[in-house]
Amino acid sequence: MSILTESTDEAAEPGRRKLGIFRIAAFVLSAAAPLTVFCGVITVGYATTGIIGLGLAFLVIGAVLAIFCVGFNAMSRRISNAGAFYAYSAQGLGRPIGVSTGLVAALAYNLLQVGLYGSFGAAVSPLVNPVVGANLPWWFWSGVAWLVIAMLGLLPVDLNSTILLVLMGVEVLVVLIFNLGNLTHPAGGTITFDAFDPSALFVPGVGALFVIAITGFVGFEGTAIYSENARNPRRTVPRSTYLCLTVIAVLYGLCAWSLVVAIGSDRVADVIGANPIEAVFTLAAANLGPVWSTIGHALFATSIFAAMTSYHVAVGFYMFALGREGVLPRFFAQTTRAGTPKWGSLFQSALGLIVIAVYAIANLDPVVQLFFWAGTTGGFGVLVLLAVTSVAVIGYHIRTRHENVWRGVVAPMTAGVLMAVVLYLAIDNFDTLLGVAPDAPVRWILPSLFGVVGVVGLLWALVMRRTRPDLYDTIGLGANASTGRAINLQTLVGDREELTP
Amino acid sequence: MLTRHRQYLADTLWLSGHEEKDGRPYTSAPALGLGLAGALLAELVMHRKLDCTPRGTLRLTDQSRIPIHDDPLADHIRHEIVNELSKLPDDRADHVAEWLNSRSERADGWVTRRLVAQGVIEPVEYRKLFKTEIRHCVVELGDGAAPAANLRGRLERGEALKEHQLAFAGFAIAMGLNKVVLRDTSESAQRYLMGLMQNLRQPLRCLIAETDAAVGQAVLTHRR
Repeated sequence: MSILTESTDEAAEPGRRKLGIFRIAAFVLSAAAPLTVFCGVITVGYATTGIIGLGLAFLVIGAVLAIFCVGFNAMSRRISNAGAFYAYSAQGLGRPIGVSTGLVAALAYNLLQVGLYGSFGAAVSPLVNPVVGANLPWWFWSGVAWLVIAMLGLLPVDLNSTILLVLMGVEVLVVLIFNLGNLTHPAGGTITFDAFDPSALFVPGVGALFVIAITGFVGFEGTAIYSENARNPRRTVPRSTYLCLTVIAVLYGLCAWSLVVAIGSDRVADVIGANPIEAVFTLAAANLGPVWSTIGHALFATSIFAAMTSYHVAVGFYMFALGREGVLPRFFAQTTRAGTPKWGSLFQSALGLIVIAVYAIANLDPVVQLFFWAGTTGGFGVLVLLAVTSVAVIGYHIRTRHENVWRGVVAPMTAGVLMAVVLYLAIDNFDTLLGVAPDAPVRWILPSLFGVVGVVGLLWALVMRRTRPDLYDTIGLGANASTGRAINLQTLVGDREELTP
Repeated sequence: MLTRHRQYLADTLWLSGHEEKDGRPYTSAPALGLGLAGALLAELVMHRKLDCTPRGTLRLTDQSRIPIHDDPLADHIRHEIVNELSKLPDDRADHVAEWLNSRSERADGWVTRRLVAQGVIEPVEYRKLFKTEIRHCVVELGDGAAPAANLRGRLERGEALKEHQLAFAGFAIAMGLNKVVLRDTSESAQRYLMGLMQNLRQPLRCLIAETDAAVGQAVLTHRR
């Protein structure tokens, strides 16, 4: 027996097994945290905007993203890079815009993560304080979560995918049960569908709904990183992406609709607005019994914790990718002995601690002003990324002519136009999204953050071009920056391409 | 005994990649495995038995079974690698990235067995709470740190480096061992090294670059 094979089973190398559509979709959805979206994003969305068409907005955005994914999936077959939006922008629109996009993405994902600390503290505080017999503030529990996550981020511990899958499965089950409770106890005794009436979207402030909906879909693009292990990457990955979009759109559309049915379209904003985080559990207790409220509370806390951890890890790896290419300082490319991004994790932890401290000292609202504002602003950032990437796909196709007209031009152009419309509406309705007056400075400050970061990225790219041309030339190549080539491991044989200088 | 093993690139990387006192690796398992897999290929390149093209494909240049050194185990491993590569059809060259990813989890075991057979390292049991872990530690303290110390000394003195020393430095950097192997090296010495690396033969530079890319990819796809 060859020494090379004597102690191994060649047929079953861990991580090399071939994944099917459902398995990949499950991995991606396992970080979706449906209870967090249902009990946090959707409820606060109703409270701040007062618009009942949120369920329809999820379906509309799901359809738009499905069109976006035509070009996105085509590009992911050819370019292997964990920082997908950033790499696609670099290779489709040029390196300066790529750097710009990379920094915008880093900001967006960081905002999504730190916002969750607000919801965690607010959710856990009423749950655990009675048990421990103390009146500890939200920031105390957020701080505990911060400490655990900061350690997990550096240790060789990854929330086991099976645990995440089981948690998600239980969450989805509970969400469906809550929805059933709402739909079987409709306000006024009749199930209404006015939440799905198209006219519900032709109201002032609809852009806010789209940003909220996009926030619920964040993470769907994660299917691309499984292409190496996919059974048939050309088909498995796109289909799992569409499956994720469908599940998210239908589930969250159902959640948003069931709240309107249970409370009544004319009262939903006021009733939920009294205590957004508790709204779903209050309904569950009334419709299903108090034990379901308790179960929901417990799962809500674990859901947020799982989401916080997933985002923390994702941000760390994203900053690692940018560090390897010199877009961020090179020390971000260092790893711990466990192979986890050391400085990406530490930076994210430091940012989280600063945010918790600032909100605690300034006595700001952790639910609306931290969780919802930071989360939806992060969602707005992802919307910017989607719009830029839509255009990048077209640019990439023009340069390489790898795809047909539908995948390379028509679909991404359609997605780009739709994204631009949504982006315009989002900026125009940002005050509605935040629930502030139209002239409140914060309605301009938050979305402008991405503009500022984008300009910084552009300038930094130009500086790199002048001072570090060797690094500049490898922008967007990801882990393959050292080889100077963009390579997708699944298309190695007979299908390599060179990034033209 | 150590002098001969300094010549085995993968062995020196293994020794530099583990703590002497308790055998704990300095870097993650995927990085170690990918680096050792790349180094095993580099050993063949340095003995003119294998070529790595700029496009990252592997090409056998000599499939003969002439022993490279008077070391049956080392030669056995190299010949087995050559055999695997030679079994590929002519129209399908193996790609470095694919080879590294498919052998990375076994490369550590190959090199470990080679070092154990030569008496450089030995298995040691470490009792943990619920299990016993076996790590491999150097038999003579100093053997593990010697290759890196030798490299650092030569760099600081501005001396010329042999091909296997340059390759050692390159793979160490690709594996994330630069903080260990180039510990306390001055900036001028590091610049000197980067200058020397440009003179490394293209197939070796290609292997190092592919290993670096594979290590980065492994981190980004959370391989454990």
